[in-house]
Amino acid sequence: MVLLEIRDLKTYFHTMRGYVKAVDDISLKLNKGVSLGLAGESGCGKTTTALSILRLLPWNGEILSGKILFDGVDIVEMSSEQFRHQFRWKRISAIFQGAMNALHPTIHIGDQIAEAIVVHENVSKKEAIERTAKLLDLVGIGASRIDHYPHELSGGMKQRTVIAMALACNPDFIIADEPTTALDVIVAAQVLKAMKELQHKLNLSMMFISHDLSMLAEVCNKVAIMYAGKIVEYGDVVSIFKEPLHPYTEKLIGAFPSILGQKRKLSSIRGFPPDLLNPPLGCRFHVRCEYATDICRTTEPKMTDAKGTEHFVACHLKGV
Amino acid sequence: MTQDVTIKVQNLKKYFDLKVGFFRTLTSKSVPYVRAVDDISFTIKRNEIFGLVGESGCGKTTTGRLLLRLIEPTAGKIYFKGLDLSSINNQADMRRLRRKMQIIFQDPYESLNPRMSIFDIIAEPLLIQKLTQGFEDTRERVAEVLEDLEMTPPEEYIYRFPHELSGGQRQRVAIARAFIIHPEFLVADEPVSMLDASIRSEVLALLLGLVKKHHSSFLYITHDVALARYICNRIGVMYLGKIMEQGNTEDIILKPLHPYTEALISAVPVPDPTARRSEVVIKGEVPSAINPPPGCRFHTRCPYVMEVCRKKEPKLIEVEGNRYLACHKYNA
Amino acid sequence: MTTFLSKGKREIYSRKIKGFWKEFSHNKIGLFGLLLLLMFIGMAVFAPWLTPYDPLSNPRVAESFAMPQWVAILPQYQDYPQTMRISPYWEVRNGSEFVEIRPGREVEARFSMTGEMKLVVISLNTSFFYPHDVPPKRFTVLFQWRATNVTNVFYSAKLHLINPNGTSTRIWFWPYKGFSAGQSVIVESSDRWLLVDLGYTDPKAINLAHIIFANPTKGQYRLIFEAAFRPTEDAKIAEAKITIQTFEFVVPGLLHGILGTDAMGSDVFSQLIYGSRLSLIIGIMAAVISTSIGVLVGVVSGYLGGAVDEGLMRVVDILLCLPMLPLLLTLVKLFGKNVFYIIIFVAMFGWLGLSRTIRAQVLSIRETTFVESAVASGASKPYIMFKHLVPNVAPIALASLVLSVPAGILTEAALSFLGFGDPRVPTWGKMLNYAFGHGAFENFAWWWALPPGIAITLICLAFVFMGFAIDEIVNPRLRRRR
Repeated sequence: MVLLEIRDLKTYFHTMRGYVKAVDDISLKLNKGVSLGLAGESGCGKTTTALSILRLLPWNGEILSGKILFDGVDIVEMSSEQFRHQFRWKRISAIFQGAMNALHPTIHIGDQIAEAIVVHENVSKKEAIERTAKLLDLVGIGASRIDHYPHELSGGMKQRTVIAMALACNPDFIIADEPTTALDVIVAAQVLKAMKELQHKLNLSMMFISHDLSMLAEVCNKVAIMYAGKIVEYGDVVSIFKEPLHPYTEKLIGAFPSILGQKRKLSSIRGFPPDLLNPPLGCRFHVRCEYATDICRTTEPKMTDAKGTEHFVACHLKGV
Repeated sequence: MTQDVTIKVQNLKKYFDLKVGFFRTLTSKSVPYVRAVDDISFTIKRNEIFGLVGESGCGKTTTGRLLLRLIEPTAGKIYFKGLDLSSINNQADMRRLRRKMQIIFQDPYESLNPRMSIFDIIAEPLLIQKLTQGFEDTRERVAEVLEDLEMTPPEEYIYRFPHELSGGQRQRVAIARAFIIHPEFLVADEPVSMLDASIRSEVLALLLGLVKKHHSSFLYITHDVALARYICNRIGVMYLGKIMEQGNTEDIILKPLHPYTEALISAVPVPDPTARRSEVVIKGEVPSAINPPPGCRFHTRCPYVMEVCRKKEPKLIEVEGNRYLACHKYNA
Repeated sequence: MTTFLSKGKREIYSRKIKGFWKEFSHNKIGLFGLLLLLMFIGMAVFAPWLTPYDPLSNPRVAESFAMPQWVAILPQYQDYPQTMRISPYWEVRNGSEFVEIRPGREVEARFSMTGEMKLVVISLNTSFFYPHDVPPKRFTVLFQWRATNVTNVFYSAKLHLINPNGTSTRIWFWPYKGFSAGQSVIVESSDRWLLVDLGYTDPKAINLAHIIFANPTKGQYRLIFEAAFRPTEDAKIAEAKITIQTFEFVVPGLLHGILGTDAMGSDVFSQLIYGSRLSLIIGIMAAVISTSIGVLVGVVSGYLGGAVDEGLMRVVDILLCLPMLPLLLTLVKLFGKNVFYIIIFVAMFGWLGLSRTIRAQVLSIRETTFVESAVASGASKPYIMFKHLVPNVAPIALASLVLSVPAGILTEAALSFLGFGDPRVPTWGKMLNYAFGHGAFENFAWWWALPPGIAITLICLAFVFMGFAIDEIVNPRLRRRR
């Protein structure tokens, strides 16, 4: 069943020089129990998408149009009080990049997690602490560390603390923005493994946001590729990686080296992403695309399911 | 020492003193120190690209800086083309030596002086080393190296300031600055890790092109094992200040011998969801470098740990042709 | 160091400056400060054109404590007189065949007699209109006269002032003398001897002006100059020549100029205008010196570290504990009241805080990888300090420079106000000192006491506003990455 549906979302930022079209008309669906990867390079709009869902945009960001339906309810429309009460952290929670540095340095981790519970639910502190102990066990830190300070924990454990905080109110959906970028390889693998297990155990839906396609390949069921504020390709993870349709996806996957298999040449893309104040007409990628034709320069391609396999792509060449 | 060995490192050590409070210095007998680099040895040949791979805190960045004498070693020797670096103790000789070695840093935003123009930044090594014969000469050489990095026409870039360029462009400027004096040895500390994936390959290609053009030896420091596979001829895997395994890149990656290398390789994600991988079985995190475990540094997490591993440190010895390993499991 | 085509260098600098100006112009307070500063600089540069009076020579231009001219807008001051300076045109009133008189502004009377000797009296007169109902506080008559070629004759001269009523007062006379003489005469209406001569022995009778310019005050007044020649009895020839030059009848007004006058009757406005020069020079020089020292100490201390750092910072600590004003007063007493010493003393204290700030900045900059790159290329320590560290602390130093100008101005003002300033230079502090010491309070001379204080405040505000604007641009918290 569909847990999250984003329809034609537009989130722009006001600046002195005009609107920065950070997220420009995106749509996607996420079922319960599925993990979605939102991939793209810096500035493509993936973090803005996450902030839009959580309604945590900075003061100059605004959701101009579109719907975000969570369990059937449009969360863009409702008041921020209502959203805070009913949805944020209770049904949708988040883990941000480098979140381990956002832990309060002079409060026990147990208290910090318990605070998240007490703020959103009407339970006693005692009960919150009990639940915290269980959470710490769940994420693999161990309830014995409930009175530790953040600086007494290693990087991986801090990240798990943050995961525990995100799970505090038993949400249905967790957004993880670059959860392992600040971690070492082995620790990152451990944390990802823990997250995968938690996802299975608690039947969570997750959205992983990352520029690291290799990481997303390990952990996600579905992947959406974003470029310059638009989703250019979306589908099942195997389908995307084995048969990438969009030229950008193809090149992007090719840019990640692999330790398995034959050593192949890494691909790269000339130029750099467009200015989101004045994005180019037509397909946003056409300036850097080697297959660009006239129609690419004038008309924006629509997301189509070319082969009927729930593998969507927005490309004039490949989307027919 | 053969003529084509550029760098030879022998038993290099670097310990950093920890800053402790005033009273601790009075009451405790010794000041604790961090064993950042603890007795490592390797060589880099001419035209060779050697990779130092490891996780954060393993000492690879410190090693890079030690080779360039940006930090002074606590013990051990470094030889540059046969010359013992610790024998240089006057400024003039040091400056002449620095002409031959250069470094490229990780952060393209920090490694360029924000108040200098691109031209000034790139030309700086020429001026410091007094290698130029006047303005026209400098200008020509800057234009030449910018062309090598495909930043043409040069006029479009030289008047600008770093904040006006993108990350990839800035890193190219840093590379230009390193190569303008034709160094014989280059150290690159994670040069592309802060760049977008789609431009990494291009920047790396340009970098490698220049390395080949100038026949430089190259030390590539990274935590990204997959990337090291693409660039390096040989790699050394570091853990907690020591080299655990060393050898040809493909050999190590396809057939890791050291348990740590094994764990590291299996933990690296690949861009292929259908790949079947062996599970990461090691637990825990990297111990503190202030009080490293006795015996083999890795024994606290090693799935094959034996009694001897807890007591005795394994030596780095050659097990196969050009493959070095420090592990009791193979030394038996 | 890198100078290639000067076009390139110019382009780089112009882009830096344009970038800075773009940011600065967004800040309204900064622009306002800049405007104020430009006003004061204009004042300082164009001083000789803005005011005709030179405060160094301090001429008396009007009555003491004369109010500003524009006060006449108010009804009770409408009638107050401005300074009247009359250079009258003398005409012959009573001539004589024996005296050749050349009338005009400058008068010449040539007496020549042969044969029978007898007394000859001549007189000249002139008149002027006094338009005010309020009598002047005083008047002054100035002229130069000379008697030459005096042969066998005794001469005397008199000057009378006649008010509209016809009452005549003899304000000057020269008794019979038989020899050549000459004098620069200044007749003050407050002259005690004159009053006594005329019979006003009452010590409270202050001024002749009130006596003469009364009942009515407004009207036509006349001056009569009389000269008498008495040749000696048995002379064959008698001759004399009397000349009068630069005759001025001055009635100092009760209103003057833009800012009135001080206790000595000198123009306040010119003192204010010329004071701006001193304030700017003192403030800016002290700020430049102290900023330079602060940057130098901060960079050296921060980069070299070790014993140098420790030593310098201890010196800073010690100096910071010294009480500035008492020490300054002592130093001035010891070394003398010289404005350059004041500048140096202010600079001596001004660099302490900045050196700490710069040192902190340097501690973080020296760890950056661009400095490391330069070291890796073989740069020497002085090169790093001057090519990399100083330019990167320059913005903060600039903000500090601008913000520390007021310190110099205020310190100088304080010292001058307390009487420790350089007596030779006209500064606003000195104006305040004189104002309070010479009765500005008692005479309610707000036009003298307030403007210097306001000027000091405004010029300090100008620098503070600009300094805050620059600080906002330059402060690392606002530095944008990417």
